[in-house]
Amino acid sequence: MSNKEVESPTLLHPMFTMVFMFVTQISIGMLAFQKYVYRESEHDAWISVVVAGLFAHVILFLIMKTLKRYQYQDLFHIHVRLFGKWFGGACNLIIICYWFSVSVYILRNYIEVLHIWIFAEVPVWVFTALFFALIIYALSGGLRVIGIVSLVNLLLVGWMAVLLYLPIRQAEWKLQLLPLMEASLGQIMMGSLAMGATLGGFEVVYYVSHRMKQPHRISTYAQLGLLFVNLLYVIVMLVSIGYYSEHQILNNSWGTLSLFKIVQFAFLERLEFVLIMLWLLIIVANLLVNYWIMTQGLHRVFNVKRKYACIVIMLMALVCNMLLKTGDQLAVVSGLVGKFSILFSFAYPVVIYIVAHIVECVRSRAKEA
Amino acid sequence: MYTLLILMVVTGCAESKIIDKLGILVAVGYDLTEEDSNDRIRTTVLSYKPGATSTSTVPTSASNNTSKGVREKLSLRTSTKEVIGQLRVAAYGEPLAREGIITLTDTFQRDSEIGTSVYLVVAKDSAEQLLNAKNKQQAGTGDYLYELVKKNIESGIVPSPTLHNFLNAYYRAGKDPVLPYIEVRGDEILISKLALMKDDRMIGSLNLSESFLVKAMMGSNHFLTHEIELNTDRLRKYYEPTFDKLYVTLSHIVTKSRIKLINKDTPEFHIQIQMKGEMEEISDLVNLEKAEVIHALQREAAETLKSEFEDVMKKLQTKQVDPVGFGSHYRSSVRVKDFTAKKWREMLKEAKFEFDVKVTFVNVGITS
Repeated sequence: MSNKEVESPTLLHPMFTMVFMFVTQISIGMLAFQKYVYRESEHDAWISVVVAGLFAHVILFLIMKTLKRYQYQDLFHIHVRLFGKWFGGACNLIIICYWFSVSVYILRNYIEVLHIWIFAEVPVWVFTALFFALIIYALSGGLRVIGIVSLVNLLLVGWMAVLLYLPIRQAEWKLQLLPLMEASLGQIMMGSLAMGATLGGFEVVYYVSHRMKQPHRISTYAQLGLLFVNLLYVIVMLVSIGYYSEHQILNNSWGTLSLFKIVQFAFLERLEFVLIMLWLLIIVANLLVNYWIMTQGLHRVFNVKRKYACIVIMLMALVCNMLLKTGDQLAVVSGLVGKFSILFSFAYPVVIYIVAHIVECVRSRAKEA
Repeated sequence: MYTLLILMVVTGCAESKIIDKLGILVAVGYDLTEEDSNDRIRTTVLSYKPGATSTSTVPTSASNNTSKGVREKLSLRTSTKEVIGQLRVAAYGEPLAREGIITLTDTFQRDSEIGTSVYLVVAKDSAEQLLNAKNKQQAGTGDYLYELVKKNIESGIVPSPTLHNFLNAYYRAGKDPVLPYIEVRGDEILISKLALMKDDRMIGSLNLSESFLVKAMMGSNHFLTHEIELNTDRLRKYYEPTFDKLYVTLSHIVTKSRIKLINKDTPEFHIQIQMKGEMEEISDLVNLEKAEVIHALQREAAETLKSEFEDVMKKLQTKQVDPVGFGSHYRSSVRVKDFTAKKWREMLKEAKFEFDVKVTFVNVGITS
């Protein structure tokens, strides 16, 4: 990034870190994470969610340390600084592939929800094309537009949290949550691992930090954003455990959506349809961030124009989306992406932190000598 | 601009549903077919007649092996496209309910179109007969059934039998579902008792007063009225009996129950039940000016209820069903690994229940 760009007025308020964290972490995972965590740690699943959240805070702390060391440049830049042009470029490509898999996972899963709930007969490519039309349009506005769109979308969807009151009214917490800590430590950790796949996405700060004003304030906002996300996940998990019975929660692939099935108003029979359509806003915001990161990365590695990079990715994504034809194929891919997510959100930042520490130590010693 | 253009073109891709051409299902009923038939399940659907007033509904029936597969046959009998999103009531014929209904409810929860607030009911003899029945009020059968059940959940003896409640209890090791049992007598449709379900099979029933007691044990509830028989022996000193028996009727009843496990090994439960209500009627002339008379009546009412509670628990224990969910209380207070419904049923047989009933007459009406 040249100095000219850093000083330009397109820099965002550091508060937007929070917004980006929200949209990348609460996407499709929020709709369907209960089953996978509950499978491991049963009615102590919420503890797993808390544990995974605490881990995320620690990792985020390491990410911020790494970023500070490199004056809040993005990860693509850090890679090159650490590993040189070729190997660093290869690392960048791997990262881009990871984000690509995440974007396919999110979009295809959302289309699956649309298929199951509302439009059973509309082909995948139609939905994909519609999304891409929106994404191209918004991407041309740059990160600033993405940030503001995400913020507005979050506000439009956020009110839905109030409706959790209705399942809460039917929840039997005393019967479902007690006795505490019945799951063994191993089970809790396995549950946290399952939760990690959902919680991944906070490493988005790696890529957006260099576009923020007053970068020293990013850390606070990032931790705060992560805290809110974690709280939301814990609340939804607690409500689900209270509302569903043991096997009911395991039986349900879309736990959060089914929570809203009992919400009923005289003028509106089924609220989860509204939730699904509003969730589109979150998904769009999430994909925007994903695509922005990918185009940014390709631009950095190959020095291609962002527009062309974006179109190439979209064509590939379209093909990938159409290749995933059935629910069970999707489940396999989703499981795989979940593992990637744990790898790149939780493990990789630690590796980068340690490597950066060693490399910089060696370099500074070499300078002294 | 392009986006708009694409949007306009693409909206045609989704399946359109024009309300005039829809048959909106309000109720479905499932029955076993006759033995000589190849098909297993006979499905009856009740849908609004297009263009007519909201009270007129038409029943249509067909048989098949699966409840959704039957749509193919049903669609040959109706001119409208049947949609299930407004479903209110699902009825199961008793013979079918005795064999188990989980596969039929499972397809409901699988179906995104159906909400989880659908009421499940058991119909005496056959659901087809129930959905074809006429009621005195001349209301559409689907709406009538829905309102009937709904009212009795809010202020009567029926514990909420929604799809969610049914599945929640079915999928829980320490609880069994109960469903209202609906009968057709002449031109009347009525809830005559509650069907006790063991897992997903109906194995018995609770009469009205037993239903009241079972529902009173389930947390806090409201009831319109309840009649309690009192033992007259100990009340003789307060009034001149003209009849052998004495009854009081409470109205606007609010009950609260607290279940506590007091012994893990037996297991033994302590159940505290508080019942508050207006004493609206008493079957003999009793002077209620003195507080001690009222207290004596309250004490006797509590005694009667206590023995009734014990009787109903004995009945549930012999049938090894647990509609109240004592198993859940046990599981949440004792650290047991792999707690299963089967284990719990064995334990339930040996379980002891100790009742502490408190009846309070909030007031005795205008006169004393």
